[in-house]
Amino acid sequence: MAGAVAAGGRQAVAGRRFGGLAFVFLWLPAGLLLGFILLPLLRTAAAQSWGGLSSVAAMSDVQAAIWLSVECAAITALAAAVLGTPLAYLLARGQGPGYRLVEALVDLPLAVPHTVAGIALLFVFGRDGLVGSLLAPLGLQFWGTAAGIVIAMLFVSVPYMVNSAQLGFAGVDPRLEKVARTLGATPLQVLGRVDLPLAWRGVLTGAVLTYARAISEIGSVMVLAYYPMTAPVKIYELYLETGLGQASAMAVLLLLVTLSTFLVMRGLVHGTWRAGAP
Amino acid sequence: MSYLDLRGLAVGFPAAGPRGRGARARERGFSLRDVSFSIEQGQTLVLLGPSGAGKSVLLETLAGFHRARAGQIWLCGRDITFLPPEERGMGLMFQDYALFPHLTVEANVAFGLRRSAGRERRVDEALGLVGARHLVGRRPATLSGGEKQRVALARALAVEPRLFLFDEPLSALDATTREGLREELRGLLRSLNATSIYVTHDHVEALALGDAIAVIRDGAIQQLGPPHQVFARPADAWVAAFVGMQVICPEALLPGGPGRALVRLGDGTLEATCGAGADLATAWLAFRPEDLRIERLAAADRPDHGGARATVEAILPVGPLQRLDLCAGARFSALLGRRECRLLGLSPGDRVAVSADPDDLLLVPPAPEGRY
Repeated sequence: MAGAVAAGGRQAVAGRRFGGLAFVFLWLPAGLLLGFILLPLLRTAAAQSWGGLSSVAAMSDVQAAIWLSVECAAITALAAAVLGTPLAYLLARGQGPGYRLVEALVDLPLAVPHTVAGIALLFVFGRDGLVGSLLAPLGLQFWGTAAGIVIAMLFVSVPYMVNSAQLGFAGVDPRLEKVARTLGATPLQVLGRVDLPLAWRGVLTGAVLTYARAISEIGSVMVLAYYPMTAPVKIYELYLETGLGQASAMAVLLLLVTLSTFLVMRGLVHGTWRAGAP
Repeated sequence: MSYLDLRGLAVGFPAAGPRGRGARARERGFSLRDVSFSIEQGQTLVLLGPSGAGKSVLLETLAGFHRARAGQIWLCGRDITFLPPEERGMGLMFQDYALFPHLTVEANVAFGLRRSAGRERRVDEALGLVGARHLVGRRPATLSGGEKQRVALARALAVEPRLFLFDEPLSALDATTREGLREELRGLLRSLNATSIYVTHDHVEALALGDAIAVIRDGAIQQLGPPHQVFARPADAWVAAFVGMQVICPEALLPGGPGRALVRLGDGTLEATCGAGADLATAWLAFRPEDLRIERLAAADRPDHGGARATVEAILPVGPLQRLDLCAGARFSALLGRRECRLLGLSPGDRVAVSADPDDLLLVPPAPEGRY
């Protein structure tokens, strides 16, 4: 607390002394960036008429698409948390070049064009793919199904999950684990009683980021499962068929849904953290 | 068999760790080699050594976090070399307390206890032993350093470990708190007849708490013995310098009486005691700076005055004392009381005669590998 006050004081002094410079190098670029993010979104929202919005909102295929997007993104986030947390923990605790290589691999989906990701997934989860042909007799198909949408979303968004959770685990002092072990806890008990309670914010943040990234995904989803349509695909189709009007109206609806769920989740992460903080 | 027995323990990190920083042991792939000692129940062994010597590695090996490459660890008549940490019954304490920040003091102390009827009572007992009952509902972040370390101690006590492992537990505390806690800790360990290993680089702590001291350098024990022996009869020049003695290379050594030798230094001759393993061809002279006798050397003084002649190079205050930096061929320092120093009326450039009781001048073997 004292440190924060001191740092604040130092900042205030620096602000006074370098007022002009601070404006040029800090406030101006920060403000420009904020405007760059907000202006297109606000402009799109402002362009809508109430009537246009409500008529698009009443379309059943629009509702279905938005609902499917939310559903699939939520399932993706859950799957990412379940699959990504163990890997994140191992990466946070592991040392050596092998682990650094795996870290780079985890980030790979971020660097692959998402259409390419979709094609690559098709090779594995498609009708003749390795996994696809194996699971098809069991009734699990990925080509043109919600399962395919989740697979596509997961592939492109799971790096956010792993990175964020890894950061959370890296913040836990390994000495706490050592003390817990000497007090009789097995490695798995240490994970449950020490690491997860201390790193859960990183894990949850990862899930929220994964959700946000998943709901906005279109490239890989289009390749793997154009139908059933998720919201971004539906918006794209509306744009091709009817132009900007209906497409932008649906875009605003999707933004509202995404933004509200995103904000609720973020509030959950930060709100409970504050309540739980000493 | 002793309570705790280490036999030829070696720990290595093959091809690991950053090179450089002169870590000789690590270059050979070992961070500990051939460590053997034993402790009886109720005793405290202090591990003393510079940073990077392997003290903490040894402690963590005992706790079960590093795999022994060779050797054995026996505790209470049982070979625990390859037991996982949770089955060893060790109580570990760190310099930075390592309290679980998400748990209250009560839950911290109860961490190692099974859910049972006696749990609450044992938490209360443990907190009572360290005088921290009033902290029971607090969170670690709201505690002072001293309070945190009390809670950490209570947490270790609660599980009734067979062996306590202390990794510089007091070094993050301010001087007053440290002294108070050190005395309390000593009393507590005695009254519980607890066996412990205590890592520190504080000589005062080592003397106050240790029944025995092991001096570690480069992953190997250089000297093991009762505290007074390690401090008064260091095994070699490196240990002597490490425990705060002045170590100089004498001009020449001549045989003296039984167990004695004559040291040629600064146009004079001093009688010194031969330490174990010191031979006249290679021995170094070690002494405590406060044990030297300094006299003013007037021009009229007889040339056959026994002591070594030295020139005063500097006079510096060191806490309540004055340090005289002297040169008599070799450079060394003497510590004097303020009053004594004032009566001598010395200033830089003055010539003095240096002498000492033969018992206070010790000849020691050179440091292994010629380094100290």
